[in-house]
Amino acid sequence: MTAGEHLTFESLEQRAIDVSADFVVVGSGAGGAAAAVTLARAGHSVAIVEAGPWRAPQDYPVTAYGTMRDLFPDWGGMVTQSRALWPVVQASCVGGTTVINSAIVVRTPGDCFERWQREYGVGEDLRDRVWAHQDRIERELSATEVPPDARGLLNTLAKDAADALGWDSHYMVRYVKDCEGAGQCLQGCKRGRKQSTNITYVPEVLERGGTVLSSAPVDQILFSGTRALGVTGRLRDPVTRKQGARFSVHARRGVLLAASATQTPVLLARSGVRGPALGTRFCAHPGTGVFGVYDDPVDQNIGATQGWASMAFRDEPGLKLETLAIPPEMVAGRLPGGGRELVKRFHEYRHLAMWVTAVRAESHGTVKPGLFGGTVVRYGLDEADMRKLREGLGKVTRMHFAAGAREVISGIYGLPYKIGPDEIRLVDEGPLDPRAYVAILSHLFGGCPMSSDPRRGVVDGHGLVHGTSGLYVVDASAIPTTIGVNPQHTIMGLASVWAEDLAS
Amino acid sequence: MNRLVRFAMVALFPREEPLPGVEDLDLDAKIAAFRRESAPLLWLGVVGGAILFQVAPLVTLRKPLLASWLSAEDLDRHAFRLAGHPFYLVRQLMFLLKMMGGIFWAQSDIVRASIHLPAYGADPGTRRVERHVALPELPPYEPAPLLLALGRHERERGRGSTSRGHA
Repeated sequence: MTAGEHLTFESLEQRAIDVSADFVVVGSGAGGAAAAVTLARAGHSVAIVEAGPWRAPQDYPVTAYGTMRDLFPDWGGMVTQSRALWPVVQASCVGGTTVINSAIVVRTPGDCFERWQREYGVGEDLRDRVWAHQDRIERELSATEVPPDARGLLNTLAKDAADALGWDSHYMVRYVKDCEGAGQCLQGCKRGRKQSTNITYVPEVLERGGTVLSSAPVDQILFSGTRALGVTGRLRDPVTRKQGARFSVHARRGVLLAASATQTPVLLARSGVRGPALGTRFCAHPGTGVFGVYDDPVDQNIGATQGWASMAFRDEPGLKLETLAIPPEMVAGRLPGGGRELVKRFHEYRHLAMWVTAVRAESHGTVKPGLFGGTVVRYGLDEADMRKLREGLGKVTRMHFAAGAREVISGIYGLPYKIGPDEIRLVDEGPLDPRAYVAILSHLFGGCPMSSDPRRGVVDGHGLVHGTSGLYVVDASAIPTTIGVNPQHTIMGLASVWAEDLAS
Repeated sequence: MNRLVRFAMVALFPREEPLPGVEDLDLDAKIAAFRRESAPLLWLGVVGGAILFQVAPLVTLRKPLLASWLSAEDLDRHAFRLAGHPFYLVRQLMFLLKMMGGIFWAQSDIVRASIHLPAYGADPGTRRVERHVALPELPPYEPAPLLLALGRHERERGRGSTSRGHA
């Protein structure tokens, strides 16, 4: 077998690139890489086209500044356009968001497949096939529980708290090989322990003779009639963002889109694909958290960034509880206040532990092309989801006190800076205005929902875009609902199933 | 514009013994690099926040003055109040300023040492440009001593490794 080539932006004088393959896959994150490796293993030639640059662990930034500059699209500046401006957290690099997430592995709950079948007429045979692929992926990417020597107090305290409250919880299973607890998941694991797709499936595709284009944002899908023939775009200097040579990738058998829930719908729209459901059903698990203040140092950045979770409330009211260590420089900006008081507050950093809640929200919004380029995400939580979010914060607040915190910093606008154990009701009765909360969107779904009905969906139950041939969506944008668990494993499982169909 | 941004960041992250203020941490170079490297919209947001910071003492202190004319004590009160202003868009602009100022301040070696974290070192800013990329090898396992002690404690409590996953 002859190894393939990695092509990327070299200079503004670089000549145009023209590549042909059986399949072209746009995006190299969880969905794109899982699909590409499935096709490559079946003997097909595959070209992966990724908008961002390829960074190996030795290239990863160490600071939050470097992370925004080197790994986030447009410095992480995408926010929801609604009452509250909540950041949409994604990466733009080979490996996509698998480079900056916590690689959390949760199998797709069976009720998701039942719902997709009931409400969207898809997924009849998906469940067993997705689970079979997830079993394989877990082996290949070393899915393991956070080992005791990597947990850190942030996570063990959370387990103590959940045990004390009688809530079912666990140390997370993640795609991490021999975790050292470096606490740098969000900046990319410089120790190379996290098995993100840029160090696993993408290099494997190359070894199997595939082609990888990095720093290569696609701006058009090429069609002949309704048949997708390939993609084209301009290489981009990742430092200056200047456009370089044009590239074209021709697909003999199919074009697979895995550019993410915020990019895939926009790429389809800009390429002339139309349909009533395009850009709809965008949904997410909005997340926010509180800091517990402990008498003894917690040193939340020593140990696994995210190592503990509870899914006891997934069904009712629809929440997930997790630990999350954020870098100190982000804490400095997130703590309320400014001036000398803010600096004094930061002095307590070693004693802070952040635990978060992610809402299994039923609210949905839209993803559309912006007037001046880019993507416009319109998304806000309805009152029922805001109640869930507030309830989740109440639960993690209770956990902190159960674990021995002396105070909690809620960060909710209008509440005192710190609250004591007898003031939890302030969180329970907190505002339902989303503008009072500092939250993010990190688990994104929809925009190209799957449905057997072209009026309600963009793709069918096999990822095929309705009304086209040879054009598939294999990322989270095809998932029509939130799933209540971390989505990477689901995205990889679905993409593998659909790629397997194509491979055969 | 750089001077406006600098003024607001210095007011938000001032010297407070024993820690340095952001002004002591090569701030001019950091702002210049940020202006050069960042997404234009982000820079515009930070500049917008800095302008607002300059003109807003009227709403925070009821004083018709620019922020740069305030006494040190008033400036500190202004910074605190504006960061928690009731208007959401004001808070968001201040959040942007605080976020970038906080990044410049808390990534410094001195501030990190004060919270018992090692110095960061430089962001490489590099990427792969080679044509042939092999599957990488894992470096030797090197857990932190502090975590090993906690790991022993976990095992003693019966919370060692389980069979979950595929180790």
